[in-house]
Amino acid sequence: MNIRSTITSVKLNSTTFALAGLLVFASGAGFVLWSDQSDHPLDDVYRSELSGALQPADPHTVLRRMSLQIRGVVPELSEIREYERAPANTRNMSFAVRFLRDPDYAHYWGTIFGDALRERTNFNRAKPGSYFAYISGSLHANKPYDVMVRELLTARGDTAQNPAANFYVRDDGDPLQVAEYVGRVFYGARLNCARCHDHPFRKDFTRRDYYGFAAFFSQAWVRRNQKDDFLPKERIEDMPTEARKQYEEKRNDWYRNVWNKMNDDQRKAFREKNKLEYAEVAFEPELELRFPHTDYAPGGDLVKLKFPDGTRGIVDPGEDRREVFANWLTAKDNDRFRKVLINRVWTRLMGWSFFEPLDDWSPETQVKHEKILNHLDQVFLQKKYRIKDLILYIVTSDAYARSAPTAGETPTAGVSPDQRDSIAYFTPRRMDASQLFNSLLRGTQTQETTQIWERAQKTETGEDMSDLMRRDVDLKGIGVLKQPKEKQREFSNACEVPRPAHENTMLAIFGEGNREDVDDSSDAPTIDQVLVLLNGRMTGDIIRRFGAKDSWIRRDYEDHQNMVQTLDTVYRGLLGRPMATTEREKLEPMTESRFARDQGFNQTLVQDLVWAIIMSQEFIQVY
Amino acid sequence: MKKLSRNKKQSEREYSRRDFLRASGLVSLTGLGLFSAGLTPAKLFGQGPKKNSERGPESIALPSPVKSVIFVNLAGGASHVDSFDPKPGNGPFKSINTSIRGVQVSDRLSQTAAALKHVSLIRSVYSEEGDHSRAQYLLHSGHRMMAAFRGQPSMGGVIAYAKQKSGPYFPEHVTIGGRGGLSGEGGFLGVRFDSFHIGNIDRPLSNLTPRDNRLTEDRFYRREQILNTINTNFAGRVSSEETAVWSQMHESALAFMNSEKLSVFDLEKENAGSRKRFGDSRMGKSLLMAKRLAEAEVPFIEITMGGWDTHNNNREQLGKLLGELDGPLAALLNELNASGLGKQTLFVLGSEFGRTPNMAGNGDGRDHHPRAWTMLIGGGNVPAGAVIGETDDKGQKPVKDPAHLSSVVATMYAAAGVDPQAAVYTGQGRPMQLVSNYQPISDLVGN
Repeated sequence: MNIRSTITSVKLNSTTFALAGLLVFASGAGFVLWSDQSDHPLDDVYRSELSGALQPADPHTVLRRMSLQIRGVVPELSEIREYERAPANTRNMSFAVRFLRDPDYAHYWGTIFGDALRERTNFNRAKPGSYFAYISGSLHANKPYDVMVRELLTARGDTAQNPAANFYVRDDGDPLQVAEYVGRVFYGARLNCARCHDHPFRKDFTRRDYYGFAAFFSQAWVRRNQKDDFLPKERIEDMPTEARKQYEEKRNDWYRNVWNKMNDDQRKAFREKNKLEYAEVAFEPELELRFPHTDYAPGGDLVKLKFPDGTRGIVDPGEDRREVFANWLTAKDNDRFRKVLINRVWTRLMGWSFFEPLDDWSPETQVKHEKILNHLDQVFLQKKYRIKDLILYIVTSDAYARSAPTAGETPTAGVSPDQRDSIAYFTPRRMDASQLFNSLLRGTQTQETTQIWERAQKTETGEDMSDLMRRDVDLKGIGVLKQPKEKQREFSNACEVPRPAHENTMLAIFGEGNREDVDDSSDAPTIDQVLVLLNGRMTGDIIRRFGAKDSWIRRDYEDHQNMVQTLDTVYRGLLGRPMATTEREKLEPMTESRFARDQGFNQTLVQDLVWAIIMSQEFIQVY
Repeated sequence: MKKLSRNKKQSEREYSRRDFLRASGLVSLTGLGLFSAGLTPAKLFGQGPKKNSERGPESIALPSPVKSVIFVNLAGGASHVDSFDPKPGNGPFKSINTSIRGVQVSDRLSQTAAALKHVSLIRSVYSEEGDHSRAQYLLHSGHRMMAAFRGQPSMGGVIAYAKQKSGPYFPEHVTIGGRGGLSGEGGFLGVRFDSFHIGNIDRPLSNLTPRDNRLTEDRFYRREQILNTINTNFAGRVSSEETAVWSQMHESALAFMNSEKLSVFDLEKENAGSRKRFGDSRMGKSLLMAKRLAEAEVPFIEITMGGWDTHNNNREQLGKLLGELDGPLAALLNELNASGLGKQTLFVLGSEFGRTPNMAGNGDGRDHHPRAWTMLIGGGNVPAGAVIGETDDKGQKPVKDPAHLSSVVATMYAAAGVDPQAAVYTGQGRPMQLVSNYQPISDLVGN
């Protein structure tokens, strides 16, 4: 099957396919046009961990994979055309840069990070949508990861002025909850067992240490309703005796001298005036944490600070303990902080993990291919904790662009069986909910003049992409970000759907979690998902409207009056590749329609093709 | 009452659609190109099912009259001292006598109290897991959660596997209500044993008919041809277990669309009397659905009822939940007994842990308490009206016959006709004993 013959038959510009035409699949011989001697430093390390050779995926597959993984949507038609024309040695680089600058990167990875941070659109009286806006905005700006985490950890104020404050509002400022999530998400340590008893697997981390860790977050508390709210009673207990006395006096004074002297109307007016529009993170320097009393362990004392590695924390009186913790967490010598993030990004892009679960790196964990992880850590450090730079570094490697396993592929010797496939071969994975949602829209709608494309085009002009590995390229995003829409309206991107996605939405059916636990989305296939694709509203609507009067595909047809070429366009839009010879042979006779009303532009045929593509293995898989 | 969408007109249309799908051969369309990719059918039943399929489900099965298990999961940690193990003077509710001599329950469970004699109580369940996700994991598997081990099937997956049927796909494992953690997981036994999930009990089935009902047979046929062409092309380029699993899902979905047994999911098919007894609430409809699925001999049916995590507002929240549970639960227990369905249906009700007998600092809340709680079990050969174990005066800990949660899971397996000592095999061929180190409770399942 020769792609070239497909190309000529659809009468497209032959120079477009000069490169693609060389990609002949000769039986057993693999692909040509691929240098096994890549100069990407990651590939040297990766290959040293692998005994066999890496088989390259074909270029259309790589473009589609990058587009889906970097920005959660299939590439646009115009991008595919430009990619085909671009120089083969730099186009992956330049398109990765383009995708990373695209707002859709922030929309998509905002959802991924939202999943880890349990972001919700509307909760606990935070400004609706502000948490997503913070996460996606930080990603869009390519804010260094350590800076972002520090902002979250040390946030104060209300969620409108400082959306990072959502981090504390999410757990209502409960220091134990906050500590558990900090441990899991930023440090890869599940310490929650030690909440009730000494940690069963970590003899060096006791229940007292757990409280000592949580005490880093004790000074922050959440004011939900009134500017004049005092600390809740049970939290006042967490102050040293003297401070507690003073605080209670202050509170009592206020009631005596202010509140009790007001009549009902005045109180009402006062309440109205002091009403908080949104929840805010307040800071009380004297607030600590007491070890609980239980019938089997003594308690009641204020705990001493303990970092999750078991070392003592030292603070000056009144100092923001969270700053001290953030300093410790993001210190250059704390590679674990970086590696937990690298593992998360790597798993997304490569389909295998250095360790699992992503939030549980215990002393028993055997890190796989640690050499690669250490290498990436050096790169991430050198790139100053910028996540986009890390992604760019990974996706421009040959390792990333390896092929999925093909029929009859023999296992690579010397690699353990459970690791073999995903390291040597790219493991296909069902599109996640966002990828599917976005791709169904993008792949079928009017697309040749979208704003995203124009913006991306401008930034690419004249930029030399040949030595990006050695220099820093500014990956800051360009364009305005979309935000969750509170009221149900038309959605143009999955990120606009409020989270957690309602259980009856297509997003939830395809595995979006309810944002109760870290990373609670699922990629498991279900019968329901197939039924939704086959008979659901979204695909039904898309297919029904496809090719209607004034639609882009009809205009595309009017330009050349060639139905086969139009079918090829449908293929490209949804599958990111031209129609193959076998497919053309099957479809071409169908353009001579038996349906009388389908003369000229054949709407039912393009609809049937769109239906078949959406139901196909190829469309649903990121491969 | 919100009516189910399936009215007569629709079922007629479905009939013609089924006819139509058969005529057009659509039923078989997605399998194409699959076996050419070097995947044997056996391989589809899990990531490395060779060992399991060699031994077959009978290797873990015991002789048993039980064909179905109904498991009610009170997720969040139901307060035992406010429900099935009340202690005088400790809590917002009164205690009342039940149909089991000497056994009292909360007065919010008055109807259940009358029907309680049909099941037995285990009042001395305990574990070490006070974290929801870890404790739910244990409840669903008998195993403690291990960080590095993925693919653990839930007991629902295991029982569905043990009682699997041949023939076209029809769910063998159904989950109703909330879903999370191990609930509904077939794990390494394969996606076939993942649950079919009913999130909305008022619309248990959706998307079973084509959206566009004006499609002609010619067009169906054309769609099939195009799809086969694309899938064949893809199978020639890419082949992996992930794609094979998706193919299997397609086939199952089509078989399900064409199933003759779909009316099982239609509560309107129940007579008015039984609908009234179960009631119109979400829980009533869920348990009625469970009964219908048990009649159809679906091996494992799990109903998750959430909201039991009463750190705050214990009194009001429990009053509401127990009120929602009571009538439907009593109706189910009575129905299982009266119809004889209970002889072939194991019933279990449980939670991942209990709650602290002492109120939390806020005065109206209870915290997690894995040191003691109560579960119910009945049906099959399990004796009715027995009480296993008891807790101290406050409900703090067992003082008689303590039963570790893993031991309760072993009991469930044994009572359901699955050998808890038997092993299933992971993708790497590693044996995993269904329950290790804990024995079933002999008073409930014999020796």
